[in-house]
Amino acid sequence: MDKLKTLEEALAPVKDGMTIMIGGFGGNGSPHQLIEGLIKKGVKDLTVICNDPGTPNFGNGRLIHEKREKKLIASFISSNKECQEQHKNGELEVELIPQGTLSEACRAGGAGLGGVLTKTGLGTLVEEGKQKVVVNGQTYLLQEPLRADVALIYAKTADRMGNLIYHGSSRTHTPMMAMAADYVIVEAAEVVEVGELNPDYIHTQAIFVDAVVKKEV
Amino acid sequence: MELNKEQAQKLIALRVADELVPGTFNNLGVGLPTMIAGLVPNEKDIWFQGENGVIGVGNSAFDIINQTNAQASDKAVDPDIIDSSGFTNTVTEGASFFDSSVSFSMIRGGHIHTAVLGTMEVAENGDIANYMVPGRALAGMGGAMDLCSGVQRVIVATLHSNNGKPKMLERCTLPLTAAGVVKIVVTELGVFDVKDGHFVVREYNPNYTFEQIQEVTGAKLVFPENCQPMAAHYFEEAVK
Repeated sequence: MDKLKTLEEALAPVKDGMTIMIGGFGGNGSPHQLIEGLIKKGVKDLTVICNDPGTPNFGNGRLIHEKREKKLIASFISSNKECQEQHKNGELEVELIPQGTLSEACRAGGAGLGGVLTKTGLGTLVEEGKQKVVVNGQTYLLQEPLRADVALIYAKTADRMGNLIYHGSSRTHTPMMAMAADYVIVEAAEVVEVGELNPDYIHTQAIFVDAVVKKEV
Repeated sequence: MELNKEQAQKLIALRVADELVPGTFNNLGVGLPTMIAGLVPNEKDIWFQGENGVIGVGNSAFDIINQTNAQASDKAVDPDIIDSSGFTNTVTEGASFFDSSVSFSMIRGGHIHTAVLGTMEVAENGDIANYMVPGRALAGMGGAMDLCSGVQRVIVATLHSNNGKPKMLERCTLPLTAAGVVKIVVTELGVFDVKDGHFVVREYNPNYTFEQIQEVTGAKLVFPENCQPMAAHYFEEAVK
């Protein structure tokens, strides 16, 4: 099995108006070359699910700077003034989900689960529009699963069939997003032959990955 | 002794550092709480979890995150700091990396001993409001609501007032981050336990009278007979 593709081949199925998950935290661990590829390709009106909007013109902030997003689902946006301004001007819709809930919503979306029950957000504005569920006398909020058409993720190492190893603190929501999208593209700093990775240390398994793009140095 | 803002923040960080328990894993919020890590020597065996996926002893978790953020803001070609710089042994000794699902399992699941958070408002019923001011630019809660919902002990570390406005109130006026979760508040004017719907003064800044401390607080303080002055060494250290 060989999923190694050029950037253009890998991004071919991405279209205007799609929902796209992007890995990374403040731009760290984001697939920067895939993001540049999207911009170059010209896709727009995207709904993006990402931990945050990166920083101005960096990470997910590149897509915001280029005004390619109509909606952002994130846990905070305070890291990017451009994003805050676009939200204030009504150019960008923003939905905030607590960070841990966001991760589990992606996991539920990828794991075939009907949602997540969490106490996070009880007694706050997060309750609005959410169903409450009582289990053994304890009240939880129901977070529905999140899914996307495409996930763009970054890994330090991939083999050609898409087994992935992350490095350091760059993992964040990426493994959950890899499970929750119909089409998953990984940008990998290093691509090795099938068989070279130790099966004990695979973080995301090839079954979740559709295309591998080698990061250009 | 009048402390300037930086000295007051350092005093708070120094005092909160002594609330942390050796042999535990803890989480520090952004801003003032992050200062605490730099004040805890590795020998104290106090570990910090960064919700973006790292555990390290003392300041090491923040070394990793700070380097990462610095590179990200510099728009470096490869912001994956861990790729490009490698780690020293002191940074990775006992450290671990993990994804956000595992990270927040630690947080919501009660595996983190103490979370230290800054705040805009904190109330005598334990409510905390630190993520949203209606009418101002939208910011977002990040991981704060998860930390409040699952961590065993939430400590608020904050300057006592914001431009002369008390932060410690009978009830929060801003949208809540979480309801009824705060156990301890530490400011430059004292250490306050949140008990039975009141701020109970455990320690006070001896440079002020009880009346002066009450006057700049938005809720009725309880001064028990056994409340103590904050130790002199905190002040000596804070002005260094």
